[in-house]
Amino acid sequence: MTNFHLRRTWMTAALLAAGLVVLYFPLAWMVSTALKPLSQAFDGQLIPAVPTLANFRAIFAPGSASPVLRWLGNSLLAAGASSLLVVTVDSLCAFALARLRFPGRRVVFYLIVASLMVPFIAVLIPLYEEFSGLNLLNTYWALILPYGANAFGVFLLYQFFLGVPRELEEAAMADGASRFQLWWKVFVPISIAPMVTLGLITFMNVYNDFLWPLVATTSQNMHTLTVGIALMAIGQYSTNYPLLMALTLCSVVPILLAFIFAQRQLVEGISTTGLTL
Amino acid sequence: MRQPVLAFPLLLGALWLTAGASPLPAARAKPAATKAAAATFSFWNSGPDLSTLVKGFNRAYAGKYAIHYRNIPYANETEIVNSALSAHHGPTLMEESLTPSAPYAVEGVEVPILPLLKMAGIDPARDFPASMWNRTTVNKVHYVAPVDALPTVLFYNKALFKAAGLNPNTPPVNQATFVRDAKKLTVRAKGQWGYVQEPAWPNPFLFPSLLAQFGGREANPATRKILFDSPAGLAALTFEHNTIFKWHVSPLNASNGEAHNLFVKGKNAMEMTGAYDYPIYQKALGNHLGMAVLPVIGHRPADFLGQNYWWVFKNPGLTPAVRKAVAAWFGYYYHHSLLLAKEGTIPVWLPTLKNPAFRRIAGMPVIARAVDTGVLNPLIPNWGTTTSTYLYANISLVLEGKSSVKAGLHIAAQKMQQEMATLP
Amino acid sequence: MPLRPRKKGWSTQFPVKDVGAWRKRPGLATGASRAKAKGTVSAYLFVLPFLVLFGGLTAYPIGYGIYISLHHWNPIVGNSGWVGLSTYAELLFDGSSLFSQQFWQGLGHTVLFVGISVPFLVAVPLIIAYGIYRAGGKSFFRPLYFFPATLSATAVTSIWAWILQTQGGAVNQILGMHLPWLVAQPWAWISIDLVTVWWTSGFNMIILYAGLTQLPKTVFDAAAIDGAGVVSTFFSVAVPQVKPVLVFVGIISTIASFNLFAQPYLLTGGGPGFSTSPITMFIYGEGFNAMHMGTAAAMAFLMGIALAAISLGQYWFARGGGQ
Repeated sequence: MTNFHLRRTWMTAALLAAGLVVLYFPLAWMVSTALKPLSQAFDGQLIPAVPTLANFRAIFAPGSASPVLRWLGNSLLAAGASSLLVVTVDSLCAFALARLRFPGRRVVFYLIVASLMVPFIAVLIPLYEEFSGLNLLNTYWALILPYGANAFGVFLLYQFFLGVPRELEEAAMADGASRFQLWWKVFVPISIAPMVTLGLITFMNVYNDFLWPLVATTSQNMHTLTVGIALMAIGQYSTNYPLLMALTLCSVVPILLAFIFAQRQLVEGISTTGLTL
Repeated sequence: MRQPVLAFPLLLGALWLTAGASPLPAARAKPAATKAAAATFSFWNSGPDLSTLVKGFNRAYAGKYAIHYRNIPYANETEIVNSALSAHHGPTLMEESLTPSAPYAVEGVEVPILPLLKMAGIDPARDFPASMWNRTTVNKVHYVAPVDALPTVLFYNKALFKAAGLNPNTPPVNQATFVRDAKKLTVRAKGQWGYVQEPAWPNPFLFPSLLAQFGGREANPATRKILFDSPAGLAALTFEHNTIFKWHVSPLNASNGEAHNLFVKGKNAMEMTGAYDYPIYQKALGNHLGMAVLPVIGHRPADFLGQNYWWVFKNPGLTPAVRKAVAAWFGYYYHHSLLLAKEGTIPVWLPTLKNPAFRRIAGMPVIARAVDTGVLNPLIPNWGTTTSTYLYANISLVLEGKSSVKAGLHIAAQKMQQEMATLP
Repeated sequence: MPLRPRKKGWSTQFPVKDVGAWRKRPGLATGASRAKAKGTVSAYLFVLPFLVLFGGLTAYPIGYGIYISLHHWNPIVGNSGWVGLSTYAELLFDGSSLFSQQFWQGLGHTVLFVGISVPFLVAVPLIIAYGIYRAGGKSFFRPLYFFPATLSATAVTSIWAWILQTQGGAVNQILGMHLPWLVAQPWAWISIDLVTVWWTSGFNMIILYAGLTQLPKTVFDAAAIDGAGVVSTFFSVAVPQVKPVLVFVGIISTIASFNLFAQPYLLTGGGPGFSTSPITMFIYGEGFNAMHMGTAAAMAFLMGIALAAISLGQYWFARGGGQ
């Protein structure tokens, strides 16, 4: 009986491993193509016959006008700063919605619900005109602020705060803590996990965003990595696949490194916060 | 537990440092170097990257004129330019393909270009090919001038020609020879095709070429009447259709870029497409690459010209000094077009086109001949880029065998005639 | 941002669930009621930073967008005349209008995609999650299955557009076939579906796995004692027990799929013909290319209303409201 179950377990694990092979095949093919010269791009071999770094040299060549590292810095800065902004602002707001009573709370709540149904495309032009009016296009403000009003994060933390035991709060209040201290000393420490999750998810999204940074940054030095690489990849009409795959790989590597670094927190965070919803 | 303690100061610090009174170069609109210049203007383009040439111009005119240059992606040009214009943040000089200039001309936000060209010492009738200058007016006024050209040409693989017993130096010149050669070049067993007709790309190059060869026109820009639904249009699309369904020299359902990929791979013997593919094909095929003017599939030589044009937006910053700066740039650009031609940008400046040094650049004589017989899209807002989506969507359905040639063109014409009424 | 959060749908996870949660908590903030004497001012201070950002960067643009939708609005010259609700009426009821045809065609394609993607976006992650739950090795399998969800739309579509080429694409070379993955139906929809499942399943899997771990161990033990195998336990125990989580994942996937844009935009260009053009692509085209910003804005708000209605409907059904 146990043997039978053990075998089942191994079979399941083998199937899961096979699934991984299928799942990672496109990524392997990207790496493989990126290492091929154009003339062998279509040879159908996963292992390049004559691997070459020529495509990467073309991207990072000193003569190439593309400041790839600067773009990476912009992306990390924009993603990092917006994550911190979202986490801070959303936590404060969620705390008030979940734990304080004030007139207009319901209005705030429903406004946020409604806003989530509006497709971004409907607000692109208004948002652009706003930033233009404030003379903030092509600055880091434009790459950070639009992500700051993250209604999703408010809900996430709101739900989490609803589940915080009342006793914790009462003990703090009995000690004469102010509301700010209550938030800072009690609610922030116990919500580290969902806050980090929210921060990581925000980071991923800002890093991967394309349309807004494309429209909002006009100088090459202000592009994010996703935008800069997309612009390099889009020749006027035709496509050099090895070069395109090398570029794509360059845009994937930083997020891969970040993922390796933060994967435990991210996966656990989504697990726990996903269920509190 | 200590992270949040850091979060606030870090956040504020980061924002202050990077976005406020920031010392970082690009964060503020105007770098210090150009402040000294008497006249500066912004220039955006979606064609080949001109940053090196712009740098040269800024150096040559240091202290006098300066250009803020931005290369924008071809695939996203309209959204970038239109959002910028809606916020009064658009460029002074814009370069895109021809028809995106039309809505701005119709709305009256462009300035006539002749005075600027004159200031640069350019006489369009003398200095530009007729095919690139005539029929580029809106309400009889010239608002745009050509920047570069991309004729439609025939690429072929000389090695495959030899293998099929064909003379690699005599590519097909008309429909009969094209079909004959394509049949010989199609070797099913090897997965080799004589020709690859994609349902989608490069029809925005090929269909107008064939249509013109059969004596047809896409539309009349003055009356906004759709004209491709004509015997010439039928003949042009029927030819494309036949390569797949009648002569079987082209695969069915080729995906986007397939003709290109198979050509690079040596599995496609002939391709009729924009000359933009020349550098990459040369790299891939080397000496085996052949390039020729399009065979005359219809009744007369003609080929569609992909193209970039520039125009100047009306804006309060367009002072006399800025106008001079723009004119100086025009002159600088055209006089450097031989240099650009060596990097693959096809010039539209007759002194360059006639220059013997230009003729010696590989491939350029063929391309120069194709420019002479070139035709342009009708100057209707965004024709060929986004307006003609109905046309190309229906052509792709026809070439997938989902619709007859006649019905496809008819429906496309009907929808587009309806669409014409909604354009500026 | 349309290429941003919607794909995974978590940006909208809460409202659906929350509308009910709100109503169910009449005694909310009892602990705070004592603090009420301290005044509501400090409560507003907590909400203020968010409200400033929200007001400036979400509410104001939305309001402005609604204003635009009530006008003829050419992005080049701005407002060119009040039209009131007539654009909305035209889109909804005027069958002879090109815009209306696009709206309904696009909405139809979007709903079709929701129909063909959501079942897979629930079932595939559930199977993977269940497999990991039974086989163990969660710290190995979970991050690996999750990773594709961290990639950008541009990266995902560049890779897939390359390997799904009809001739010379890796997938067809392996299959030894010439399937027109991106250029003919039904393959174009299958490809978009496949890419979406490949890209976003990991996210749903994490949530479903967490749902499985919440179940009391005894239910699986009981099934094992009855001699049920892995597969039969899956259907008899796992699926019914995690139903609430399944419903949740279904709703967030619906919202994500409703906002489909990047995959067809970058893979099929909306073709062949217009057959894979979702409503978002028509909005995009009308607004930025054809310069009918007012019409595009109206389409976008109608789309938002449709999405809200569908989400609320699902929520209502899930709560047993249909009985």
